[in-house]
Amino acid sequence: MSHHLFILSPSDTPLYELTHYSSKPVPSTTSPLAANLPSWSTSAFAGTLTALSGASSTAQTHNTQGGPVRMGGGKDRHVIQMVANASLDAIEEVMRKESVMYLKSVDKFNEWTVSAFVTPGNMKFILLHESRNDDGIKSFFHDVWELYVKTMLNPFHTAHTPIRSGVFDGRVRASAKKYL
Amino acid sequence: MARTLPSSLSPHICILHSSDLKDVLESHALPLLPQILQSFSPLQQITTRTTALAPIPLSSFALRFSDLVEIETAIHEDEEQRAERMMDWIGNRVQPRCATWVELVQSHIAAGEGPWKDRTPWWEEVKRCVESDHVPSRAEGWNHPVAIIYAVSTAAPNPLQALQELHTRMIDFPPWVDVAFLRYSLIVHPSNSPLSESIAESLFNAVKKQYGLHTYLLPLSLPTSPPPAPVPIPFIMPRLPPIPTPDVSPMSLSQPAPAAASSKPSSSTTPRVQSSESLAGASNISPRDANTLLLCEGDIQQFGRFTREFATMSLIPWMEKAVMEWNELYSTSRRLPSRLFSSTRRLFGSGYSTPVSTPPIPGHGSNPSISSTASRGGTHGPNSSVSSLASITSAGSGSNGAYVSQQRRLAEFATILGDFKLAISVWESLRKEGKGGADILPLLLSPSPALPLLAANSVQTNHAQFHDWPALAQMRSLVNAVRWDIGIDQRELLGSILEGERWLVQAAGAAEEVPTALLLAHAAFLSSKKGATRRSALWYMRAADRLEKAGIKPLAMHFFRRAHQQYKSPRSSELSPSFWESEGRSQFSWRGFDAILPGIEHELGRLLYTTGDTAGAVQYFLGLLQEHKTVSSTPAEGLGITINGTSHEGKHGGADKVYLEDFRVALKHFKTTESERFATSELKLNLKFCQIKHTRIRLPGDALNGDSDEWNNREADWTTFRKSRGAEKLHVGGRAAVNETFWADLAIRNPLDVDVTLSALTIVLREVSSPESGKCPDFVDVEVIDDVQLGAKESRTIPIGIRSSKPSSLVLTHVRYHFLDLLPAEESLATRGRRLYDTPHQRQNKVYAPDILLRVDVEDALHRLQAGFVDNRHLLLAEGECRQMTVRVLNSGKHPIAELWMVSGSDDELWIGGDEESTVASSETENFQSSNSLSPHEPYRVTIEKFHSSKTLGPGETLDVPVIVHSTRSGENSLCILLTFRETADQAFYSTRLIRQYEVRPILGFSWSIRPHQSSSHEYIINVGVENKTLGTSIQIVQVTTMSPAWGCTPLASNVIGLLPASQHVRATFGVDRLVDLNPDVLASREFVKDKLRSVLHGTTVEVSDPPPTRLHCRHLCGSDMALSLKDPALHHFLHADRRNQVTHRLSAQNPHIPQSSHRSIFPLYPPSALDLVIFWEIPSQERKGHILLPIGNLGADHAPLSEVLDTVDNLKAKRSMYAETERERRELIEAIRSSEWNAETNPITLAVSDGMTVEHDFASRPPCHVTIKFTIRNYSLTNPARYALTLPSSPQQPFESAATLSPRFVGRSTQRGELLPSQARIISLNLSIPHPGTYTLGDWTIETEVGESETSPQWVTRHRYKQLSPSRCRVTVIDRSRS
Repeated sequence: MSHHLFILSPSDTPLYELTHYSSKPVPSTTSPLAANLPSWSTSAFAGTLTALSGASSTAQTHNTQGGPVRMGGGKDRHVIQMVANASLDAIEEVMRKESVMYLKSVDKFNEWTVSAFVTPGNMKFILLHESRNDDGIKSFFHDVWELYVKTMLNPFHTAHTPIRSGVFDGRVRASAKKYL
Repeated sequence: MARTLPSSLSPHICILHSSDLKDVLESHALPLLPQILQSFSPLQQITTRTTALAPIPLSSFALRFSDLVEIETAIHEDEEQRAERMMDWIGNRVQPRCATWVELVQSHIAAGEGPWKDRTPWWEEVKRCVESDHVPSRAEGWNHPVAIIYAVSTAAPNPLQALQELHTRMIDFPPWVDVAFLRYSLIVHPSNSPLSESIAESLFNAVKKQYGLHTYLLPLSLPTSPPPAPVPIPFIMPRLPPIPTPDVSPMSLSQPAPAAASSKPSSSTTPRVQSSESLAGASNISPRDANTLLLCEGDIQQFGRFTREFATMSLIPWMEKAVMEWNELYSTSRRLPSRLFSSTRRLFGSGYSTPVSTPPIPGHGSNPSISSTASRGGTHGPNSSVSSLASITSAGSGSNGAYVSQQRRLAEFATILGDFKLAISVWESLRKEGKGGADILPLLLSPSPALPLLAANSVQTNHAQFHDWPALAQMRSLVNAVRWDIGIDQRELLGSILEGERWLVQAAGAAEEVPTALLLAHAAFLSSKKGATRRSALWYMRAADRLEKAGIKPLAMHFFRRAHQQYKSPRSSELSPSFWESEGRSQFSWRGFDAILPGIEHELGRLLYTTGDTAGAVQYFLGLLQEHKTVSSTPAEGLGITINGTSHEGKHGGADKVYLEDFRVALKHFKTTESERFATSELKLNLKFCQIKHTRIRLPGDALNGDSDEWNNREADWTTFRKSRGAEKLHVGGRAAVNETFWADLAIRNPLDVDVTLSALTIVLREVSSPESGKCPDFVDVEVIDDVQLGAKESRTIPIGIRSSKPSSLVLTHVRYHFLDLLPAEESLATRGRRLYDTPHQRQNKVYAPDILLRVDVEDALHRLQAGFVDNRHLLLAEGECRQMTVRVLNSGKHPIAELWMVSGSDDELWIGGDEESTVASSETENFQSSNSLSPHEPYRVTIEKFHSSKTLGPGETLDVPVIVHSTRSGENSLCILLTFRETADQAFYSTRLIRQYEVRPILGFSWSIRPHQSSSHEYIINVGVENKTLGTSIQIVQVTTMSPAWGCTPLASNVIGLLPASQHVRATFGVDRLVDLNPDVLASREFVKDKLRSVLHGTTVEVSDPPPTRLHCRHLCGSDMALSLKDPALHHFLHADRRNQVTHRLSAQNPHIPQSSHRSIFPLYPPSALDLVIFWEIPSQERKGHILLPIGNLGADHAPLSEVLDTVDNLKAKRSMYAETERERRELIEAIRSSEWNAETNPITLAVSDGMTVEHDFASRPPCHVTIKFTIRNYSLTNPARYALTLPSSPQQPFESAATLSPRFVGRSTQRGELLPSQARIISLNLSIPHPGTYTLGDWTIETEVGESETSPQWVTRHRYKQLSPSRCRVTVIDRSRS
């Protein structure tokens, strides 16, 4: 299960990106509250896909989460970026309505759920994830925010400076490992 | 709530006609009855009734007619297979037309107007195809026939029998098809019928009597001559062609195949309709204009009347009746729950579902599952055309649990009739039971947040329900999506509540079919209309991806372009304009995600290449080749995804490799196939290979470049030196000579992560005076490098030789090469000039000086000199070694050289001249004068005649200049010498450079100590230790010389002179005394420093002046009489330079706030009381010799000479400075001076007592014994007198550490006073009275010192006071001689 984090400047220029592979087990059951909402899982389409592509229908699996990673580098990287970019439309809309920093799940595209966090300085943190983990993501975002603020203490850092600090990277990874 | 329902949600009427009717229509070139009747749908202004009999006016009421035989055939096909065929069919319909469509749409977009602003042709096509589906399905009842019209004509031999046959014909429907339909009889009576009007009337009456009131006689005139003018009719729906028989070649799907399964194919009419339809699709003529019907006006009215009567008189009343009956059953079955609901509602409030107004029917059972009153295939009694209202109603009885229930039919009928109140409640209850309805409800309800959930639910239900039939599931989702798109007003659909475009995306799911791709594209279209351009870009891209896989390239390209456009389209930003100002960036220089545009452009390029547009493809691929700035600038991981620890650069590398390979292939193809276009196309490479800032001109003499700062320093030194001597300019070096090759060192870096080849690499240059775009001058030859291979991200310096055959000024403008041996490219070598700040305009805007180009001057080699060391081997020096070397100078110019100078660094110790016979000292001591100045040495003038036969160095002549180098800086060093020369005295100077690397290793280690001498013979004792630090080399210490302005040394015990084997250690001891004839320079230099430091402390300008010269006294210690004299000019020079280097370094470290340049005007080279030691050594085995200067230190006492100055400065009224830094620096400066050696404060008086005296005395004869002890009191001050008061202990002292020693008693005055002049010593003798023999210890006396002002002052003024307590102790042993 992978996570993709993007940090975007107020003008939506990416300053940092990270792909994290979580080794945590996927929660098997969703919460009772979530059951009321339409859960757009890929399981229904997994069957469609395999059948349409001519594979045997017995190969269908309802739990695609444990399967191999679908989005890798190379060509798919731009798809991930497109999803993150597309979610900005939804984020801006939610930002107009609400004035909270943690925007929870703002958008969905197939298997990807997009959670976002907008700092008071209008920096956007976007996380693409596959499973629901609101509390963990919130804690993760707060960690990243703190780290980002520390990075911004550098007087040579502007809102458009890409973050290349190894320390920042290491700490974000550590936080991702802890919460995601 | 007058909504327009999609046409697929309309009553489906099947027509079964007799063969004679078909013949009649065919004979008049008319299509089949369903098609004719379909032209009259929808009907205008129809009124229906609700179950409560309230009228509902409907502005339009659609009907669908189809041939029963066709339906019977199609219904037996497997639904999954049919869905698959449907998908393929839509795809195949879209494919041949999309190219035209795309052109059309693009031209409309370019024009900004047109019908395709709000819709897209491909989606219209998909909608029409999906809506055309009329085959009943298991999942829903919309296509189940509502009525069956049995049509005969009076042309039949026996129309009544024909009708009878039709009525009795078994309808071949599978059991799951609802048989609750209206049976209707139609008799067509053409004018040429054999039956007369009256017989036809009676036939109609007979039929009416037999088959009920649902009967109609349709008289038609159908004129044949002249044939009626064609009447345009609405364009008929495209139909999915039936399954081809195995004999038929694969379906030609753009044209429907003849209905193979039908008994008599209607091939005569369909082609005409189809051709017109395809015409309509292709040429954007409204489809309604294209289709025609050959009917006269009267017949049209007859048909219209029939259709309307059929609907209003039969179909709608029948449906209303069915609805009422079914609703009764429905409400009965729901009575209990509804009552429960009503009480629940009362308690908890109501939802959007409305109660059914039908009164409950008492007496019915409340079993909801079974409500059928008649079974399928029930009686078709003549009086009851409604054969069965309730057919199969129970849900879940079928194999897949998706049979159409009566309740569903009720909902559908209510929907069709416009009784939405009832329909909503029934659909809602169906939805709650999980039997569908979620797809239709969004069409009926007003927008609310629940609708997106319903839509999502319906998609999910489809996929759950048809889990085993993926194509069917996909098809159902598509059908729903189409219905939503048609049935919901677009403004509502796109509103923020519904967000309908997301429904379409959900419906599209992950399927890779053409219709779903078009569905996504439509969602993207809607998103872009809504303003969500980024989302739109994503969906366009996904749609394009799928279409590309399906092989629909024109559309895929269009969508990729749209995605590209949407991604790049500027968005209105909600940021403050000052944000951009504060960031110093332009609002329009937005750089988004780095992988998105290349991803899209690469796809576009590939598509263009495969569709044959090589030029376009090459353009796109060329755009992809660019440096990934964000990644390349992060060495480790940085910005860029790191996947499982592997750096992301690899991913980029992979992408670069693919891009480059595609580019290479496409370009090669383009070049070979379309060479003319290639020649005219302006392909411009985005990449920059040349690192302009690291590119430089290299002249032949510059092989060893050295540090450019060093050379600048040398040139500055020379300029300073020449300033006072004449205004002759120094011609700046770096001029190439005519007919001599010089090089442009191109720094090339491959910005890509993949190997590339540059061929025919060369430099374009022009003359300075020639116009910008001038050609390469013909007198210049520029080297062309054939092939340069660069690895991924590799940097390399490539020298390109340039040779000019006449003097000129050349400017290097461009680098030219062939990228990959295919694409000619050019890069500018200009760098941007500096930012200008001179005028307000320049300060407020970004204005830069003109571009800087590499420039080189080529001139005739008139004044040229080449210099080099004769011995070019690695030079290894021992520390302090003096090594003679030879510089060979060649006049390679055309003019003679009369004046030659050498400029070396201020730290370099260099002497021009040979290793002549050293000067020998005349005696053991000698004095010599030193300038005492820290000023750096001046450039050395090389006297040419000294080393050459004549006074000038002619062209082509060489000169060997001997040079002695001395260095004490251990480690790697370089000697940079600037040689300046000229022809005659008033000409300008030219220069050349000389550099030599050398290494210095330490060989000797030194240690030394100074202490006051205990006796009066010398003032100080110096111990010097010398250690041989080498591992196997013996070093001969030849001579040790001390030198000082104020002190003279006397060698005491010494074995230092001689051979010092490896790792051995020797010592030497010197007694130091103040020189008797103290020279006045000492005081002068002290005053000099005091004055200068006063200026420094007061912050005034320090005058430039050198300290007064001083005389140095030397004392040589050597093994023979032939001591080396320090007057030897070379040696004197080296010692001076060595001392200066040491002093300068120390001063810089101690006084960081005094500028280095003013050190020479403040501090002298030798402080007045300094003492230096020079050790001369030789290593005979290696023929090395040298000397090392040891600054021993300052001896004697000082009395804080700067204290007055410092006090004054301290007491000055503090000037407020604006900056804390300035204040802090000032305090630091004062502290540094206060603690410096020039402000030392020491007690000048020391007292020495002779220790360990042994006295023999005859106590027996003359007790007690009187012993005289000598106290030596010395004033170490060189300048000031001192008074002392020595106080002896008055009473016998307490015994010291042990009882073994005794305390003596002094005899005489207990306090001794006196005054000592500078450097004066006095011996005081004191008597001890010793009563018994034994060992006595003396101590506990006190010396109080008063330091007076200098000797010259007439009155005693105490400057300092000191008190010293028994600084030393001594023992006296008295032996009783009488006992021995």
